Amino acid sequence: MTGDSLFRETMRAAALGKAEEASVLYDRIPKSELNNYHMFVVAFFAAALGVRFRDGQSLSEIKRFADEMRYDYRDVQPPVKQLVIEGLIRGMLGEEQMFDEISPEEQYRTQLLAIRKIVGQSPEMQARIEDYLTDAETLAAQWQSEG
Amino acid sequence: MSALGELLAKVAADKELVADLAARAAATKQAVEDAKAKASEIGAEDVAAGLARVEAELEQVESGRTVLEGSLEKARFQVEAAISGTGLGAPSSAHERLAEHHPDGLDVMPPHERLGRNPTGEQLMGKDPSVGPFQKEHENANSDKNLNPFARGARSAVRNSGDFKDGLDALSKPAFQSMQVKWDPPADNYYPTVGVAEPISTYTAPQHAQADLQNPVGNLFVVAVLVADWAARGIRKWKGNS
Repeated sequence: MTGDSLFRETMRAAALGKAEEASVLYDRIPKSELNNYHMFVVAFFAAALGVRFRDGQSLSEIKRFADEMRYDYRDVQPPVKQLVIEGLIRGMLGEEQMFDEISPEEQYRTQLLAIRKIVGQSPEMQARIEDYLTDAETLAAQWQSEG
Repeated sequence: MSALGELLAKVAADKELVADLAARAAATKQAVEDAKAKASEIGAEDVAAGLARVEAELEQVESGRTVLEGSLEKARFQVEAAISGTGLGAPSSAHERLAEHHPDGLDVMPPHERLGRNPTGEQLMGKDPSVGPFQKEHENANSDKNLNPFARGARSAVRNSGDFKDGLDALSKPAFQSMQVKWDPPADNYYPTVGVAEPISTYTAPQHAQADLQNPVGNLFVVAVLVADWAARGIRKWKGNS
C-alpha cells in the first residue's frame, strides 16, 4: 500500500470511529511520510468543514459548532476547548494569525475530534466518504506541489 | 476535429468561388469599358455616361468582393489555428475558443457590424470584459470560485505546524480512541441547550433607604435613632459634668 492510500485508510477508519483499525494503519505509515499524512489530515478537515458549514460560516455558526462539540466530548480528557475550536475554524477560513495562538498539537487533536463529529453527523459524508477523501488528497497534493 | 476539417474545406471552397468571381467581374468590367470607349467614339454621350455608372457600380462590387475574400481568408486562418492548436489566438480547446470569442459565428464580419456602432476596446480585442486587468484570463481562471472556503487558511495551518512528528505519534492513537469512545452526541443530534446564549446577568447597585415623608415606619426609626443619639450625648455630657 502506498503512502497516500495508507493516509486514506487511516483517516477513513478514524473518521468512522474505528480506533483499533486506525491505530494499526497509522503504525504502518513510514516516519518519513508523517508530514504528508499530517497535510492530508488538515486537507480532510477542510473538506469536512466545507460540508458542515456549507450554508454559512458566520461567527455564530462557528460558536454553535464549538458548543456542540464541547457537549459531545464532555467526558474527554483533556477537555476540548471552546476557543481552540473557534480559533481553529476561523483560522481555516483565513484568519491565519489564529494558528499562532494554538499549539500544533492542540490543532491536530481538535481537528481529529472535529472530523469524527462532522462525519458522524453527516449522512452525506458517510455515503460519499471516498469522494471527500479524494478531495483531500487532491488538495494536499496541490500544497505539496506549491512547496 | 472532423467537423472543423469540414468547416475548413467549406471556407476554402467559398474563398475559391469568391476568387473566381473576381475574374468574371474583371472581364465584365473590361467589356463595359470597351463599350464605353466605343460609345464615346461614336458620340453617344448619354450611353457613355450610363456605362460609366455601370462601371462605378462594378468597382463597388469588386471592392466588396475583396473584403469578403479577405474575411474568408481570415476565417480559414482561424479554423486552421483551432485545428492545429497553434498560431494566432490558438485555444487549448478549439471549440471552446470559437464559441467564446464569436458567439454569433465566425469573425468574418467587420467589427461595426458585429458589435454595433461603438464597440469597446475589450470587444474589439475579443476580451471578456468581466475579466479585470489583474485577473487571470486562461480558461481555468474561475475554477477556484467554488473552492471550499476552508482551504484558504488550511495551507497555513500546515505550514505553521511545521515538523512535529513526535506530536503526531503521541497524539494520534489517543485521539482515535477518543473519537471512538468519547464522542457522544445527543440522540437525534438535538442540542436543547447548546447554542443558546446565556442571558446576561445584570448587576444592580443596592439602593440606600432614604428618609421618606410618606414612610411612617422608616421615619419613626430615623427619629428613634436621633433621639437615642441625643440622649446618649446628653448622658455623656451629664456624666462629664459630674
